[in-house]
Parts: sequence; C-alpha cells; structure tokens
Amino acid sequence: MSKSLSSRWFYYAAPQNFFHLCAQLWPWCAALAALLGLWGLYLGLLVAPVDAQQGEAYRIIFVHVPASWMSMVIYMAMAFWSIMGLVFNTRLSALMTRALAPTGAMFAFISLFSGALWGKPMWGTWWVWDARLTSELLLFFLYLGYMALTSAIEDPKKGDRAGALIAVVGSVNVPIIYFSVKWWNTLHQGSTITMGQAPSMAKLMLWAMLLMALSFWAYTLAVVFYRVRVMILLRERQSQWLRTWVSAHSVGGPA
Amino acid sequence: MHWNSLQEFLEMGGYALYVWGSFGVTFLLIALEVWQARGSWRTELTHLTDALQIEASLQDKSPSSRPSATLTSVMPLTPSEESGGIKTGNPQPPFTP
Repeated sequence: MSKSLSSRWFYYAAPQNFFHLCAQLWPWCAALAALLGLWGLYLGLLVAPVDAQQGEAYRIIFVHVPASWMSMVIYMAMAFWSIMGLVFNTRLSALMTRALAPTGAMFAFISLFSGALWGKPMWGTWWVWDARLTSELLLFFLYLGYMALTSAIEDPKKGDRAGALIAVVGSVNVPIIYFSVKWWNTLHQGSTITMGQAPSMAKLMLWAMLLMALSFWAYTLAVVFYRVRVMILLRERQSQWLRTWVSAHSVGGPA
Repeated sequence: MHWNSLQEFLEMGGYALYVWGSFGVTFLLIALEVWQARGSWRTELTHLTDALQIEASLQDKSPSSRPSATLTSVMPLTPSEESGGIKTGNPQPPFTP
C-alpha cells in the first residue's frame, strides 16, 4: 500500500499529471467551499444567539478566526513545499509555493482588517502593538516580501530558491503568532479553541466557525489548484504535451 | 432564527459598520482573487495559443525543401549567408556541425 502511495506521489509530482489532476479537482473544491460557506454563514449570521459580553459584534469571529488560521496554515504549507523543493529539487514544489502566496496574503490581510474592525468597538482602538497583532502583521509582510522577491528575479529557478529560503526562514514566525497570547500578556483574547480542552464557546457558534474554516480550506485548495495550472502554462511552454493540449483547448476552439 | 426583522439583522445591534465591514471586505477580496485568477488563466492561454499559431505559420512559409522548421530556419547561418541584413537578435554563434 505504501509503495503504491509513494509511486502515486511521484506520478503527480510531474507537472503534466498534476495539471490534469488539478483541472478535475478545483471545481469540486470550489463547490464544497460555496456549500460550506453558505451553511456557515446561515448558522453564524442568522441562527447563532447574541454573545453575552460582546453583543452582535462577536459575529466578526466567523471570518476573523478562519482567516487567521488560513493565513498561518498557508505559510506552513509554503514552507513545506519549499523544503520539498530544496531537498528533492522537484519542479512542482516551487509552483505550489508561488500559487499559495497570494491567497495567504489575502487571508492575512482579512485577519488584520477584521481584527481592527473588531478591536475598535471592543478595545476602543483599531490597533495596538501587542505580540499577536504585530506578529500577524509581520506574517502579512513576509507574504508580500515573498511575492515581491520571486516576481523580481527574472530567472525562475533562482527566484524559486530565493523564495524557498524566505518561506522556510519566515515560518519561524508562525508558532510565535499562535502562542503569542500565551507567552505574552496581550490585549488580544486567548485562544477560542485549545487542543485537549473544551472550547470556550457555545456549540452552535463553534459549528458556524468550523464550517467557515472548512469553507476557507476548500476555497484555498480550489484557487491554488486553479492558479498552479496558470503557473504550469507559463513554465512548461516548451514541452510537447502542453503544446498538444493547448492546440486542443485554446480559447477560440481547436487551433 | 435569531432575528425578528430584516432591519434588526442589518443593524447588528449597533455594530453594523464593524460586522458588515469585516464580511464585506472578505467577500470583496475573494471575488477579486477569483476574477484575477480567471483573467490570468485566459491571458496565458491566449498568449500560448498565439505563439503556437505564429510558429505554425512560420513553418508553413518555409521552403518546400524543408518540411518543418529546422535549426537553420530558426537560427542564422553564417553572417555572409545572411542576405538582406536580417537581424535575428540571436547572440548565439552559428551552428556548425
């Protein structure tokens, strides 16, 4: 079993095979994202009761926490693909890292923006320089730095390597964000969900938040599978399989 | 259902700006990203299709003695053979077997 799994892994490490796999996968992921998102929004905005302390403003949690989780998960995924790329020198790894970065930056921005909108009515300020907020801002800048660096280096291979280094070194920041509310005394509230402990929120609210988080996961997979195909179009333009495919699937019908 | 009226739902207990601002920006950015991704796919596919068509038309115009674009039809021969001063901009030296 493990042998077939590893051979399948290497099969899809070839851009040609992954290109076709992604075409099959992304519509399903997109549909799943829409379905879970609608369900989560229904529970979070229409059904869930008001919070005793924060009133209706707490509903920001249904985008804020899932977006913050995704901003960290995506950076770790970029670090993972970068290590794979540096160790095994596979062509696909860097393309995955590049495809993940814009979505990670978007979620980091949503996290900061919705956090500011939540902070104003609850703390009386849009922003404080505390550990949680500052480390998340740093994460946002790491995404921007990665994208600026990889797009500025013209040689794609060199860009891949430089980007991989940023992704791996920058990943040290992710556990700092996650544990910042424990390690330092911050204005930001503690974790809503902690491993091995009962969550500190009502079941219905928790369900709405988990559905939104799963929806963001599915969305990320959909958009990354979609974007990595654009990257493969760019990188593999010399290979015969892609030329054959393009002639058969061009915008204005078969060429 | 938690709400008694649409008005109440939209007002969000006085936090409308903060709640709708957060959800609004989230959906705006997701919509922008999807739109951008679709655009880049179409652009790249069109570029590649055009490039292949230009290549194919160049192959058609090549003399009948050469059935397809060969190395010599793409790369310049020696400078003396280059009639009409066609500059290919190819910095590589001419191919000599």
